[in-house]
Amino acid sequence: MKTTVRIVAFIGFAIMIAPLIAVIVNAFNANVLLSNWGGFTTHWFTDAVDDSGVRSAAGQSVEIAALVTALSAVIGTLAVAFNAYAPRWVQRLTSSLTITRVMVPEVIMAAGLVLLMPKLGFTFGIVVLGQTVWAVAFFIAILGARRAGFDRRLEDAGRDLGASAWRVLGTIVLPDLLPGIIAGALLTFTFSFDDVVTTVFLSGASTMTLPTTILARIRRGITPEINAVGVLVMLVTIILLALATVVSGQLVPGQEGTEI
Amino acid sequence: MQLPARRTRRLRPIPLSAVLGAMSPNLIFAGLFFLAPVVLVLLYSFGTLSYLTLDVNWGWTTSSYSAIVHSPYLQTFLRALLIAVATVALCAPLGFAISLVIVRATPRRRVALFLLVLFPFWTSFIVRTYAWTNILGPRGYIANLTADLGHRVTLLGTDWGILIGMVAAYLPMMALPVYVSLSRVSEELVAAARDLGAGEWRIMRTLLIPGAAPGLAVGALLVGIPASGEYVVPAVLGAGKVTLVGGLLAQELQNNGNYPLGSALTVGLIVLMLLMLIVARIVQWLWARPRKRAPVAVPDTAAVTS
Repeated sequence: MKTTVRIVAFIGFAIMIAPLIAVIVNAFNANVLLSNWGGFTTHWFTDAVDDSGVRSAAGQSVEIAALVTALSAVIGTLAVAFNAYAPRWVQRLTSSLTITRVMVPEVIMAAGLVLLMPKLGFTFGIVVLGQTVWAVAFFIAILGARRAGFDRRLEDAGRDLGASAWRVLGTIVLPDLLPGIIAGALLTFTFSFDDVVTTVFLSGASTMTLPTTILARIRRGITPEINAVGVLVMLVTIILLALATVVSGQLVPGQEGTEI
Repeated sequence: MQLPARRTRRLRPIPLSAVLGAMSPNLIFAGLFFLAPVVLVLLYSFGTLSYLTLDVNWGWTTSSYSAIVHSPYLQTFLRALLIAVATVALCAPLGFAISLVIVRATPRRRVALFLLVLFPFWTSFIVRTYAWTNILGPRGYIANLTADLGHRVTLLGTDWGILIGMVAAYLPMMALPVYVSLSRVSEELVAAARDLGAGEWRIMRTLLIPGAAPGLAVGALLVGIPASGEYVVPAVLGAGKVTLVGGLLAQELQNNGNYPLGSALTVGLIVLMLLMLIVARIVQWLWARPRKRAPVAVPDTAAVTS
């Protein structure tokens, strides 16, 4: 029994890790055909960095992700910070709209927006709007979890000591939410940076991000350069997400010795 | 249990207008760009496309739906559903085994193994999907290996290749909730069962699998729903030869501009998603009934997701 579990688990780990190893190995593989190991090279990385298509796509990706993150952070923080003071039906509406947007497959949301688009045109801005639809929901879900864990007695204490509701919000609630806002923003940035579906459906051919460029290149055949781009993208997402974990993990009150 | 009543009257509460003002951007945004488009999808799906002017004629015909049923699209739909179900069916035992190994590992190894799940989960979706072309492609490892054995097998561009890519892509979504459930199964209980002579299989059947069930249920939804509408994996590993529903949608809406047909396909996906939610609810309900006698406290699914 134990060995069966171990074998199945090994297959599971292998199926997740093996392709990543293959990308990393082939990104340094000097053999153009990638069929065998042809020696070590960093040639594909210089190719990738010098590629103007890759460069402009990376620029677009960062631009879109930054806008989506900014929009989501503002809208989402407002919704989460004020949620506790809102009437019950507003809370319910907010939470069910959040859950559905997280759950519904992205193609459905993107398809709906395509129908709305002829009136608005396929542009860069539409991609930002389209991604923000689900990005806000993810942001609210992440930040909402932190708000839910907040010690409400701190608010009460502030009130008892005579602070106005606004002052409590500004000096107690928001500072406590800050690590959550940063972590949520980092995650939102990664999701947007990584997005394919919304971008493909809403951009037409005009807006190429890094993932859609990778997709377009794959359709023309696999080159070693794409592996190098893949490794670079991998590094960006992992650094951002590790950062998000550190920010949200270490700044949790009580864990790293709170000063309150 | 009744909690002591909170002070309901606050000194100077935040005015309702300010609260609604702060909450409304999210609601308005969701209404305009999420709810309205979905309603539009429903309306369009009952309209028809004029092939002369490429305008959409509104109406209440079901011609788009019957066009799907009487075309190869129905088959694509069923294949997509089958692949999604197969993905869940394969992810469940793999995710369970992974979680069990992690739960039983020593603390230090546990962190390392956990990172092995998080690392692919954190890697860009397109990169880890595309990574499989290095293995499944015509010059990939599997093709070379099988060629040495006598018959070159290229899984890229087949449903099997897509299935492998889907399982790899969605496995973390299954493993993480199952891990949460499994880590709540009391170690003492397992040790007691072993002391009383229960074999590994018996422990598995009566303690571990029931304990993991809520996580498996959540995982099945987290995997099954996105998998049924998956666009990226077939686009990358189908190699232009094989498409699923996500690909059909893009094709009809973008290349052909056939909005009614594309909308009807989208409605099909929505119905599929609702069916999965209903099935999950029924399974959960059936599972919960005999569990009343069970020795393990089965955590609520809602608690696992939150």
